[in-house]
Amino acid sequence: MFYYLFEFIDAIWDVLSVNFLGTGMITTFWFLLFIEFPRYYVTDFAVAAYHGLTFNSRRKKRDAARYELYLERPLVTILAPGKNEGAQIYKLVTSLSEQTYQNYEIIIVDDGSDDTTPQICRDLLKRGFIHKYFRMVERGGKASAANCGVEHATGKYIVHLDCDSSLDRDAIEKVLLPFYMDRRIKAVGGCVKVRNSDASLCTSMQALEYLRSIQVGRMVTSRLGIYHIISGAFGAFDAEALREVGCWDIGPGLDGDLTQKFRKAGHKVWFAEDAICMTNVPEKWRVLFKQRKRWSKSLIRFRVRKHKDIMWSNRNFSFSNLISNMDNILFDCVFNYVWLFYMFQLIFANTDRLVEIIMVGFILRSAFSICAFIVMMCITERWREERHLGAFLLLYTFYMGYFMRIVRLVGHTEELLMRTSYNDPWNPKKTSDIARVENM
Amino acid sequence: MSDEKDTRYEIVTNHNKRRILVINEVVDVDITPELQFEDFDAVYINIMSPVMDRNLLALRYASPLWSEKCRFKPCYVTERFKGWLGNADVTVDGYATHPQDHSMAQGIEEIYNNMRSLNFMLGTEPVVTHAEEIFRICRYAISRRQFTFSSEPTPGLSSGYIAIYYHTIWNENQEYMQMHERHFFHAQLLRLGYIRRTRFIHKIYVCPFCSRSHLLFLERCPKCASTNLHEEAVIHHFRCANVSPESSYQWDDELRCPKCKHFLRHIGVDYDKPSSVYTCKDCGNSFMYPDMNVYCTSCKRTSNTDQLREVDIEEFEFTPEGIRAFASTDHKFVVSQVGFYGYSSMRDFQEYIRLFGTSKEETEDLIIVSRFYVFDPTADEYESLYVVPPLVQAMSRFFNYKSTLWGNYFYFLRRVSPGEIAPAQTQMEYELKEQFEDYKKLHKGFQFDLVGNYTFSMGDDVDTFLQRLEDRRQ
Repeated sequence: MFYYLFEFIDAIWDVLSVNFLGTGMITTFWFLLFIEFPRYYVTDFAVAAYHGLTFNSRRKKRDAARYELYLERPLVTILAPGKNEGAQIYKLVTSLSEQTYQNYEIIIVDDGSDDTTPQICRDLLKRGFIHKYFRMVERGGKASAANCGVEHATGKYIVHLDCDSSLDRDAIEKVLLPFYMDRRIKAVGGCVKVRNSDASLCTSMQALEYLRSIQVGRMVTSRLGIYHIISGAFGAFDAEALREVGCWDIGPGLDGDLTQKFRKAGHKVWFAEDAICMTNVPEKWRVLFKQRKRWSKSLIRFRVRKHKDIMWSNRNFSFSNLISNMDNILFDCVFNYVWLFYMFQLIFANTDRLVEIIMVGFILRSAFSICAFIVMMCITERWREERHLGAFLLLYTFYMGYFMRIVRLVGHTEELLMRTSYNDPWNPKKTSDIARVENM
Repeated sequence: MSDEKDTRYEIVTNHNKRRILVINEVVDVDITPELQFEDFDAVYINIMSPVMDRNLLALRYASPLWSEKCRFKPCYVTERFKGWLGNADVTVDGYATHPQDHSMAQGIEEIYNNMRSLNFMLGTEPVVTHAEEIFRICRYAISRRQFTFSSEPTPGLSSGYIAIYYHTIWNENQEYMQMHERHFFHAQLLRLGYIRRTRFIHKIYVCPFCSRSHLLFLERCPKCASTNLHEEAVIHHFRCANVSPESSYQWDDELRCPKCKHFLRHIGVDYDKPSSVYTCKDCGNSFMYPDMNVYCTSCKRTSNTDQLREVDIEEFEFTPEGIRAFASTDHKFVVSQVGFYGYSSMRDFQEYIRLFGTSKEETEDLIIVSRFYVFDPTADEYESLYVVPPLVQAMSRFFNYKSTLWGNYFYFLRRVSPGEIAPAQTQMEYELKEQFEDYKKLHKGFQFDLVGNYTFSMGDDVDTFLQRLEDRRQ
């Protein structure tokens, strides 16, 4: 038994020593070692270590902020716009009724639902589960629905939720704390996790991805001052600052766009990794592909086109904003094309040892993923429930390394060449037409 | 005196030998001793005063429904009244230019022929209870071959509907029939098989407290309950997704987006109005669906729309049995008097209180009872069961009270809402004392005195309450 195992390890070592030791390793895996490793692994490890080391001081700050929060006890507006989300709204208000922070008003904005949502909402309004309900007879898009809610919000802070979200019972309190930890913070992103992680392989992969790129990834960008997207599913905003920046603009990708507007206005944005919101994710690969393609298009539309002024000096110029935008554009877009070039180069230049390269690449990525998973488990608040996701680590390498890259490539290319985001049915045609004409 | 009488009325004979009482001035036929029931067969109102109330009064005094001496007799009115009678129009058989008009004569014969074919009895019994009042209306309807009473929306009627009770109002302020009496009467007639439903017309909503339909619907702010609301359209600007009230876009007669400062030129292209929003001018709260409250103008109480009581409005018709019973006056001994206001026996009076106390009706109403000691030296002359004593007749003009005479005590009862106990009691005392005083002037030796007022509310012990009335009587 051991004889065969040692034989296998010897064979791998032989392959590695012949092909990859020294400069061979660097020339073969330069993309992984010089682009992905420093950005996604080194920074994660460093920030996680810092996070652990500053635990006590953070706790003291949080306690002080919590005291201030409850001393002031501001009214918080919880805003949930949506279309045909009647069935989900009851779950949402139930999870809100369990919140530790109770001074809130719930505003539901119905963006032209054509199912039983109006009846459900009016019933909830009558029973006092929600405080305000506004219905748009004609669908105007998510941005307009959210803006309608802001118009009638009376809270000092506005928490934006997706209708299919549900919150940890202390999520509202935790998402508000950063406002009291640093008065310059005007927008706080909550941590979105997957509720239906066990529904299919597709959702399990996304659960792992959300854990990695949202809970850990955004914590890292937030600590580095380059946090650039407050998720639409769960975000809190200072109402005055939100109105000052003009609330939401036409989507898709309106959440990233709004975060960018906050940054450009000179406000500080923060990520509250412990304010947990659960949401359902697509269970089918095809649906996931479409969703991510839409998200990818918004990167081109907003960061490359609409907010391109961030990248040169103007009166709103900020170095951290530049870095934030560049980080997003480079690592989520430009390096994807570089990766494509790298893959072609790898395949055509190493046809004779392709199997060995794939095998070694897989081992290296898996090793990094295991390390990253350990970091995730250190950061997450429910590691017992989420540790089973470790079983998917080997597949996760393919999911993030290949599937997601391909999706992004398709999305970015379509948007760059054909501006297909303006045809996306996610937005009503009337608003997309205006956006296309106005080049927004 | 006789000259004066001649000018106020005259009796003429038409070519069918029918004697027509022509009314030229306001004449209270019932108290005119020269005019008797047998003296005329029909009435023709020939008055045209510039004061409309006076014309209506003349009609009322000679009405086939209200006057004892004119009871069920054909009643025609001068052509000049056409279109001016309002609700009283239903008590008129037709219009004619003069009392010997050919079509009027024909109409009179038709009415009498109809009565003959139905074996209709032209009774002149005095009416002292509401039940008798409704019987009289039903009899009148049958005498005019009006067998179906289709409910039409009726201004002034507290239920808003039900045509048969239309006759119970003279003008819009003079409706005295209680809603619960009507429902009770209807239920009784249905139970006896005298009427049957023929058609469903509407479902309406009435006040949950007094069952009346005179309701004002008030939109209120869900936060402060103010009715000072302002409704405004909401504009969605496509370009920047701004959604705010129309007033925030107003810019020198133009529409300009408050967010991106672009002008809005074309609805459907630049913007649309997907909704409208209410704003409370008192507390500033904004909302889409105001609370709807209902204010009853009759009982002055407020309820919400969920509390309103549903009432089915249906069309009814008299069954052959009902027609026969009403035509021959066999009916009055089978319909219970308990549920009606007006005069009744002491047993029915007590039964009314008992039914009220044990009913499952969701109401906050109370019953107030006033008791008077009366001494009438002429009372012994009216021992017969079928003769209504003059005192009872006199006191029965208050149809809003249920009354009974038991020995030397006269009881009066009325249902009131909690807020109006004191004023209702005062009014009741005042009205009854005035009437007793009037009766005293006409009847030598008559004495009366208020013994006491009693209040009975739902949930009180009925037997104890009735015992109180009994005990004090000793």
